[in-house]
Amino acid sequence: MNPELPNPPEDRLIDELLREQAHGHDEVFLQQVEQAIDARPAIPKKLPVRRNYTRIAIAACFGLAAGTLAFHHLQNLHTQADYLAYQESRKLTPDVDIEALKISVREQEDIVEEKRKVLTQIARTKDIVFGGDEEPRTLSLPTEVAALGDVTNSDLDFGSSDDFGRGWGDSDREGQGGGGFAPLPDRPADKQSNDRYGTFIDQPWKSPDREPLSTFSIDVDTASYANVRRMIREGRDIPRDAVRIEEFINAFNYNYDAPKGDGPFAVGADLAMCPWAPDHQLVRIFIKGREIEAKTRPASNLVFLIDVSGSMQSSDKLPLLKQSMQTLVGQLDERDSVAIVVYAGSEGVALPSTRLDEEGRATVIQTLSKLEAGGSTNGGAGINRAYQLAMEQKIEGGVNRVILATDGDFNVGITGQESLVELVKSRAKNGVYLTVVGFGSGNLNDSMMDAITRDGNGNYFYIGSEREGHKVFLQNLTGTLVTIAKDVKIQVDFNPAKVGSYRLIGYSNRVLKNEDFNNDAVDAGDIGAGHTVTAFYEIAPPVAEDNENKSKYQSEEKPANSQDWLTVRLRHKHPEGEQSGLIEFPLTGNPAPVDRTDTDFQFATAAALMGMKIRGMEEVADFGWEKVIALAKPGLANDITEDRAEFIELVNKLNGDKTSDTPRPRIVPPSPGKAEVITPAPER
Amino acid sequence: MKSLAIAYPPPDMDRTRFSELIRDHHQPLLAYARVLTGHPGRARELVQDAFVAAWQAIARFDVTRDFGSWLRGIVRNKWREDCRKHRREVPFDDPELVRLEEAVRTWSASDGEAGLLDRLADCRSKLPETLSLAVHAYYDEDSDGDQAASSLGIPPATLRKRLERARTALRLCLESSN
Repeated sequence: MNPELPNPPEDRLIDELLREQAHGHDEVFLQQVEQAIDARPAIPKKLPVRRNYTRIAIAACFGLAAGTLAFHHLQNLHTQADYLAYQESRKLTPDVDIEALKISVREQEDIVEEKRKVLTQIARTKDIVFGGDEEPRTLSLPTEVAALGDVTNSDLDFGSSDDFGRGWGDSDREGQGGGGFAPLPDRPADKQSNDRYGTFIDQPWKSPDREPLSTFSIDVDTASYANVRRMIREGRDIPRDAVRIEEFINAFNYNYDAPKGDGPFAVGADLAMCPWAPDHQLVRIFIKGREIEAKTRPASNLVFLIDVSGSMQSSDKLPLLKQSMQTLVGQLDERDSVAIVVYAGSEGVALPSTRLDEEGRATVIQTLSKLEAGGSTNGGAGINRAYQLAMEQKIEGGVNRVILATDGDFNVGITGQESLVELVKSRAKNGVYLTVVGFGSGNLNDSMMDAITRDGNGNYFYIGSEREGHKVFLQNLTGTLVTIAKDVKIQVDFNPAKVGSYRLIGYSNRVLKNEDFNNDAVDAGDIGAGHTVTAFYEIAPPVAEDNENKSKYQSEEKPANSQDWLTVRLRHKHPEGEQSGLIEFPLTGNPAPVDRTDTDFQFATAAALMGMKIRGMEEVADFGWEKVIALAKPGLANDITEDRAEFIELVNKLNGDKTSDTPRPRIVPPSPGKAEVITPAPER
Repeated sequence: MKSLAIAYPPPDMDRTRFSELIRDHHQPLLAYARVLTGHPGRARELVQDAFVAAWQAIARFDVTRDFGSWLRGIVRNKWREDCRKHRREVPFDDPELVRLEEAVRTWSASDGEAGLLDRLADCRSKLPETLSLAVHAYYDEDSDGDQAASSLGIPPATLRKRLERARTALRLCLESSN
């Protein structure tokens, strides 16, 4: 051995780099590489296509099942041989200094988790072929990964790992929906969860005679559906109060007519027979926000406020958060700037406001990748710092937004919910809005996150998978970022001659006092570009008058002689305005059978029913899950994103799908002692 | 930040762009491969194969990942495959691989792999004169130890010590620059 040569790997690397430096570019080598590459063309990208056809891929997997079993058997033999070779190679090196690995146990667990996901996905998608004429290979797995199962990555691993098994392409394969082929090791429902949900009461039936007006704020959030979807998929218990029915309905895109002219949105209403109560009617009120093309959207000044407290360690939190933020950064361009504030025990600016040119984008991604979790949570201080940065860089006429990514565990600093809400409201008045993105389970403070966005001019999403991250930050990016109208309130004026009683489905914590409808000082929900909002009222016909038992004090005044069922009024403000405008129109006509309505009506009804049934509303207890599926199925005709197919999958699971590999989720009623108001249905 | 910036290429990377990446990355990658294999010829083969494989799979490259570490992953797996195929003893164990990978990542954190040699040059300029001369005589002049020691008029053992100190100083410099 040359005595001048160093021994530690770092010094050997320095040695080789010095040699490279001395030699300079190797032009001959470069030419050889170029020629070798030109001899073999690149393989066209396939993943996006597969993403849109997950179901087809899954079906293909079933089709290939028999062949795969045989294939796996052969591959097992290879894997075992490789594993033995791997163990053998370890034996060749004496005195392994474990401490020198400098890899924490947590990181190793993350690696194992990522490998498990990759291997699971590979088991699903045997259609992935890497490497052209590369021979199929097997991966030498460390023991902990091999123990997870005998799935092999026969097609994948020529250079597919960049970090000793971290699949460089695994992000594209994670969380793409589907039924989840990997069995969970135990029933997650058995685990103790500290998730916190606000308690709220479903809207009672009301009589137009006494309360002709019903007023509520719109809600475009989707967090509740995304969170419950995760619970269903994992076979977890579902707390009833995790369900906000309107967020189930609004988690899907509907093909409502776009606004004409320069208006920010179009609004409409229609009527159908109620599928679970044939003598009732369902009123749908729908809004479609104006679409804004990505290239014409205004410049964005974003501040990521990222929770890096100890509770964010698990793989469904900080790693998924980084992935989601990177997706968002990937959609932005030179017009935009991003700053990153992190908070744990104390807050800090991880990255000052950085314009997203090529270099800036790399800086943001690099900063994100370095984040690690640890410490307690000083969310309040972090929010203050984030708003300060956002105000300093405020773009007039642009998007100015703080994006808070957290599991919602504010346990230090400004802990009071009201203090936070006030802070967020006051900043919103200065033109800086808030998006809250929730991650993970076990510590999810859903009620806090819903509250600060509901009352503080913001929107709230829950991201439980990379797919959901793509939905929020890729497919619906402009809707997420660009507010086209704020303080949108709806008021419905029911005609007692046509409506005996009514109730609002969902929006339980969005109900406003009737007098607040015309009060511009009272805040309400915002609507983003392209957003659709749907609300349902169930209405019952008037009951025949009982003249014998009528009180002499009851008013003799007859209801207005009109064929209107109701009148819809809507108030909204320009994103930077303070004075609201009013839209008003009546609803007339005869109700159609629900199966004659458009497929969006039917699907939205199915989504509402899912929420109503999980919330345990008695009126729909006898309306079977199979009927919910029947209502949803026509909607599959318009399901580019496959969200609706996934919905049907979830309902099947709730219905006790025997082919599912996770336990049937259980619906957990409110804890004893919690307030619950039973509101009887009106007589039919 | 040049290297990191181009580490996130546009989705439809063209051939010219990929050639730029090859030019930027081939030197650190060759150095890395030589550390793995201990054999310059085999290192060149591995790196060439890795670039070919990378181009073939470029459409599947996850743009949120670091391009340099992706390439190193390919080289590592090709090297392991090569060892298995030819029943060669694996000269590197996993803890050493981890140390090596961590070293590359740490040193490249601010400028990326493509900027690594520039940063090394910068660090070299900060070496004390005696160490700098030793590095120059041994590496730049492509001399063996005895020739380099002779040209400097020092015993070979002194040269070895100076080279050792120089490498340690360079390593510390690369680490501290981040």
